[in-house]
Amino acid sequence: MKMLKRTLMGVLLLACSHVGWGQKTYYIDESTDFTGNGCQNADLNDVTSSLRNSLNANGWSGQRWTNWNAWPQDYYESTMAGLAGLDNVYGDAATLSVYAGHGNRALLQFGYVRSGRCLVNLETQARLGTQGGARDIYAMYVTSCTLNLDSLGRNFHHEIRQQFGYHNSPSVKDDQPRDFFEATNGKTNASAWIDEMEDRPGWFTGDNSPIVLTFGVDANHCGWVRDTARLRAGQLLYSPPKPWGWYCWIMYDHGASGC
Amino acid sequence: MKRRYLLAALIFLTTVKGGAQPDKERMAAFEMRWPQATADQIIARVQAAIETITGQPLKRKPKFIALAAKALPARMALNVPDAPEFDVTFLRDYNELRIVNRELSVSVPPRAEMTEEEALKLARSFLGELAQRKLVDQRQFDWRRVDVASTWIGGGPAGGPESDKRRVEYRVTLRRVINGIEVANAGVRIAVHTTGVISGLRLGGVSVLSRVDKDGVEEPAGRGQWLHRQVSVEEAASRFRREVHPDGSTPTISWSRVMYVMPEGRPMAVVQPLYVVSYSLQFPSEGGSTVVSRRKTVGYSLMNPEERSIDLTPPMRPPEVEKGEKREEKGATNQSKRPSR
Repeated sequence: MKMLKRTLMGVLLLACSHVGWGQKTYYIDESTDFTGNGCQNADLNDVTSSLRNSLNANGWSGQRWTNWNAWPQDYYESTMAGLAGLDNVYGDAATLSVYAGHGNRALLQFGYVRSGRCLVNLETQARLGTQGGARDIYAMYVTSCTLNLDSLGRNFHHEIRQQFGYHNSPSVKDDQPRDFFEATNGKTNASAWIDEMEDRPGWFTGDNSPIVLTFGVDANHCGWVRDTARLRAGQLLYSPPKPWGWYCWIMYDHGASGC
Repeated sequence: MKRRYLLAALIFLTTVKGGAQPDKERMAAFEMRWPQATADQIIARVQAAIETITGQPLKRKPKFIALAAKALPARMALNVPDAPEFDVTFLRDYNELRIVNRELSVSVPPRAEMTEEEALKLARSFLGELAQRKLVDQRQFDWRRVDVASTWIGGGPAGGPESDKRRVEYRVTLRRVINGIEVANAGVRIAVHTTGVISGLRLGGVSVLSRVDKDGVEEPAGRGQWLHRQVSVEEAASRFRREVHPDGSTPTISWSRVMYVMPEGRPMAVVQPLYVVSYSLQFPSEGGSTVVSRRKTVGYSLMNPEERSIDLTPPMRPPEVEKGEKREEKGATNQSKRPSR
């Protein structure tokens, strides 16, 4: 009996200590106020508070910070010199990281200037899933053009399973990120993202070109990850094998307008 | 006969010349609403749509997945026991049915892909079949206004050039047309897999209270009415150029057209056609970078030049901002933060 207890305890400890083992944690930064804070752009609707509620309701835990509390430094790689990066405690410290705001190709724009910075260059300043933090497994960018296909390679410096974003400048209704997450109970992340994000609900104007970028060890593994990973269903919530050796993407292409 | 000329003139003005002609043109405001389908209606619609896609009758009816409460939720997933390859979702608030063949949507299609012309031919034939099943009314669509998009897949090795990029589907969209003017919130989108199989369908949207006269003109019914146009497209476009210019920004127009748009958050409304512009803004930012806003959509009245522009994609609620203050220490742990709830 004692032996059985010890074995069970050992298994539990091993499971808990394994980095990213089935963790259901999130980190969300969202900028909605872009007026007069040193990072000029159009003000935005809130698209992550309902996502946060849904994550919490489904057993996830984490943090959501907005506007003056959402900082570019949250995504800067903490081990890179001169950036004062905090990704080890924020942007790269949870299973799912989300940024909602404005952007451009491999760029995130925050609403409030901090230490003279408004932007995160995902190619040169961020390393998600590796180095400092190294806990991120999925990244969602509710921003314009961040995963534009013509510059997709600028998003290759991370060691995570999937990135969700747009090839163009998207129109996003308040609850669409939540609806995406909810849909991943039955659908794969890839299918749910492109299906939910193609248009605002109730619109047939084809405004968005949603894209999912997946990493795998090789071509077969990449396809398997794309066709297996489900956030809400808890499929593939542990760290991927590293380094990745193959990328694969899927996109509904309604053009690259705005990028 | 007069009405025919009017309709022709309306189409001409709104599409070809963009309304550069004299004012006082007649345009109708229509009463529109989001129909609330019953459970039986939803199941019947799903069954008819799947049978049209597969060409086979379903022996067992589609079933709602995990529908515990008696009241229907805003979004429902359905299971089709005789065609389990289909993901089916119904958005009740928007009367919108979405069907995806989950296997085909991620398949690797053949190298010799079908042409867009062939895909359109298949989509047109499929629309006819949907009409036979009473799922759509073909007279409400105009193939001259079809939008064709694509589903692509691609990939390659780390550090290497992109090895592959293939079209999986053509995504053919037709919006509901009333007297030559499109409705943003009703239509059909047919996904044609490059093997020639229908691999997805999206249909439904807002319903329009109207009656069609003997000349094919849709007359407003209920609270709808005929109005006189006072503003040309050029005048409305000029307003957009004057009014949309936040400091240092450059607008990029994705599309603009005269259109009916159902106001957000309203179950029913009397809707006038608007000049609608869907655009994003580019701003200069640090280090010579340019940043791009998320998409905005704005509408201008064609009946009253003094009326303020309408934000057609407004927020549903004020932004929720947490009250706490985030700590900056590098060594801070997740537990030491005060997350917003």
